[in-house]
Amino acid sequence: MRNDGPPRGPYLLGSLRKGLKVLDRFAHRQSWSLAALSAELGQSKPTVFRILRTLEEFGYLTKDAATGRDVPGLRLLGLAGAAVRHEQLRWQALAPLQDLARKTGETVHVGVLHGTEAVCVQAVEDTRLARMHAFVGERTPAHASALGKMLLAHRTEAELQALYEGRDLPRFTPRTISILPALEAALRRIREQGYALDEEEMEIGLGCIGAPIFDHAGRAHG
Amino acid sequence: MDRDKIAALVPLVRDTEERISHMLGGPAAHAT
Repeated sequence: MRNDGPPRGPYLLGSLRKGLKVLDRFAHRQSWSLAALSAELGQSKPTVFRILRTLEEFGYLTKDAATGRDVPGLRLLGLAGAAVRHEQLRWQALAPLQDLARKTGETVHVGVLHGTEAVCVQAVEDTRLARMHAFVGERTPAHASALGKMLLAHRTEAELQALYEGRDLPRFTPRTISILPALEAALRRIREQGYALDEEEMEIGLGCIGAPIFDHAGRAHG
Repeated sequence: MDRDKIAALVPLVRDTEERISHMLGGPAAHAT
């Protein structure tokens, strides 16, 4: 089972939480069989089956006719649209990102911190065949990405503790920072130098540079 | 990513983030 930091709290509804965790997997992979999803989440097939049927009934998932697997349904499109429309950063960033992509020939993107994940809200991909992919809505563990570490570097110590205390830092490559004190030391360096690097911490062969975007309140927003 | 490439890209990235910060009404990134 993945440990990507599910929200914790006394008022959470267990069944809704299970359902949302199922839905959440579709942000990482587009289609799932019952068996694969059950194994991924560590939940029994009957439980996952009932959740899938419920989500299909309400249009959040649908069956792919060719494969028989579940895929995202059109109902999600409306929700996704509503979520990104209020995100001012997404639109303000587009022209500068296009300029940067043109100058560097690299894929560029901006995102925001959501829990322990960095969520991409705008992306411009370069045009080479062998390129880094980035797409709106893509989520990456913050501790293993330049964007995420940049945003974490501007959170307070108390905020960091609330996010990570008692949670694992999953390791993706030998270079992933996987213990909290090492992450805190890395975040101090990032604050000092003003930018963050991902040096093959999420995927071997991939590197990334992150710099902070500050909003009107002076808070690192993206 | 080699050091030369990082050194070349960092100013461009920071300039871009400062442009966006400015559009959002924020301070320049290097000010903090």
